[in-house]
Amino acid sequence: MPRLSALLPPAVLLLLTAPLSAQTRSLAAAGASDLASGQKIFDAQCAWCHGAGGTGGNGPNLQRATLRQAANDVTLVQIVRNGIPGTEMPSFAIALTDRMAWQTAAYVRSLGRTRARPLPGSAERGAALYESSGCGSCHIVAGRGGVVGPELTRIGALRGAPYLRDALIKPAASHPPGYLVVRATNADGTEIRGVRVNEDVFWILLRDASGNVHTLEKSKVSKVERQLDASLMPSYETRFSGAQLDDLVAYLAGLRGDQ
Amino acid sequence: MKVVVLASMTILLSVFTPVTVAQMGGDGAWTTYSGSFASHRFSPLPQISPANVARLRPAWVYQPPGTGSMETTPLVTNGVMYLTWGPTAVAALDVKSGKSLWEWTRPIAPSVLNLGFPRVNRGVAILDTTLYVGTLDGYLVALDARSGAERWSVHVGDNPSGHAITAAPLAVDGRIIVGVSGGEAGIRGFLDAYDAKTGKQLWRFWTIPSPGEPGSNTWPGDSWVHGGGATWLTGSYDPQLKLLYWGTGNAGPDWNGDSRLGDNLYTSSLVAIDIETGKPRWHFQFTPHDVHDWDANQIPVLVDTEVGGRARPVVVTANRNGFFYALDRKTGNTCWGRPTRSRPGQRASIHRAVPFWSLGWNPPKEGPSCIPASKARRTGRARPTARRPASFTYRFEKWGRFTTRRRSSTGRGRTTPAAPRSGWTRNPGARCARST
Repeated sequence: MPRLSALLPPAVLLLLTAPLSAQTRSLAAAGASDLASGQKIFDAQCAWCHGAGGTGGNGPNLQRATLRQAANDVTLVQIVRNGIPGTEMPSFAIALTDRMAWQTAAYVRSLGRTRARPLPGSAERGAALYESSGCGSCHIVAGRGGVVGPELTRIGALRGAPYLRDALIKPAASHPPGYLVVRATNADGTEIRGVRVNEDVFWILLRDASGNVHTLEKSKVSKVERQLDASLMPSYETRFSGAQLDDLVAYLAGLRGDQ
Repeated sequence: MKVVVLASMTILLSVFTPVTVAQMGGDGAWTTYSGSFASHRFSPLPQISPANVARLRPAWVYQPPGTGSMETTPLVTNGVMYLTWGPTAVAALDVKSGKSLWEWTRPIAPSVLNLGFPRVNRGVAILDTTLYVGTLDGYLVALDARSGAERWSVHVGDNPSGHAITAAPLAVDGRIIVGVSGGEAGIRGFLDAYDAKTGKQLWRFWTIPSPGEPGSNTWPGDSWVHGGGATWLTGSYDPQLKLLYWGTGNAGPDWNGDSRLGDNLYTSSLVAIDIETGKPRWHFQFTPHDVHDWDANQIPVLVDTEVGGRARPVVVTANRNGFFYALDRKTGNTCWGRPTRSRPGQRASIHRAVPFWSLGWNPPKEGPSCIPASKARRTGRARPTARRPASFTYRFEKWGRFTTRRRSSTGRGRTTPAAPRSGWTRNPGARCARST
């Protein structure tokens, strides 16, 4: 992951010093210029995991009024600066001054105030559709389900509704990291297509659509084709009506892993 | 270069098939902590032999993140190896390539306590498609064996008061049995059983009886509250008798027994526990009133053998007090108990195969302690290993007590030994005694 210290020239870092009192000011007091600065930092440093505009990615969706890890302003600024030990949220203590951390936190807080309108679909109907359409044969929710696709137990905390809808319509365009589709051709011409589980110089491990793991020795495979634009998940653009997609998105957006 | 590997490593396609209880006594795969319910810790696979062992070469190396010691016993089944490292992490490895299929790490804050033991994890249990792992912060977690996704977790022991889980759970007949660490922190030890599917608690066996229960007369005053008796290694199981055999650790406070005059049941003991009810059927205390940290957590090995010309089901164990024991599995009666080595300078005599000393007896200058035995099935010989650590003891004039402090941020009680300056009950020489 690129760090701010790696991106900014040292002179810029030296100039960005601010009074310590900035850290204790209420985030709601941030003016337009502070928010603009915060957004700039967020786009460069945070969007990598949290998505542009905080829509979520590897890191949680931040477009919500209350954040699970940051109950108050002081905690939020601390998290922006120091990360969350034991999680993938890294420390930016070297890269960010107090003022920059405060501006970034203020921008994050503002994302919660501009929260999207209530979702049009019914989560209850979406849950029924999830069951009847067999989504669980590939995805795990709360410990139950298949292992071909990513776990969805906390997907609503990680991804916003627009992303979830896109993923249902065009899975190949939005497949998450770690789910690269690979087609390997054995010396005898047989093919194995699956999601890459692991790979090094000598080996590549693929999980096929049935969930079976294939351990392939590269020296014995004639061709390894990485299908960057492919997904094992079918598109539901024509399989579901618009209203059904709304229902399913409402269900998925409600999965926060907190039951 | 010809590489010698285990037979199970030749599997190309690891199709996931559930692990059943029936397999756990089986000979090929290693599906439970000690290899089988009888805990022989011996693999009958003949591919590695004295003739070819010198030619073994690494097939692959897997490097878990971090430093610190690794005490895991990997489980291997269906071409997948499940192993753990500290403080609490699990990986599923493809045995052919050594590449991980998934890794699961529980965030463990530096403030999570490990009093008297390292920040390690000793392994998982597997049943059907679920793995079970204990966490340093005192939870039992069920993981999807195919993906590492969490199925449920249940709170077993309170970490701020010294409880932690380092032992591998044991899967028995739809139950998950899990023990706790924390004897040095003055916990009241226990062994728990949970429903494998739901995580619901089925029973708890307290290793320290409360007032009025059998054995409570071996604890004066309220000393039972911090009596120790941790259950920090995985025990064994007899499916015919439906009895668990589980060792218990030192009494608390550990190195000085002045505040707990008496035998201190069921510390430093082997307890046979009814799998259905969690009630003790019998117990055997190897070291009454232990003041040497002579835990009895060594793995009990179940064998059927002839004793005095009669076939008997026995449990054998090499205890830290330097004796090797064979006990009747049904009754707990002693078949025999012998010192594994001579003990220079020791005044103890043998009383029903328990080293006997009166209160106030000083520890020997030198004495062996034993770690788990394994049984070579072909020769029928048990092979305990012994070491002879030096040992010395300090006595403070004034001894401290376990104190309870309040934690303002969480409101939870925090029980830890008082600081050494105010008379910590832990022997400051313990570190030397155990490392030499």
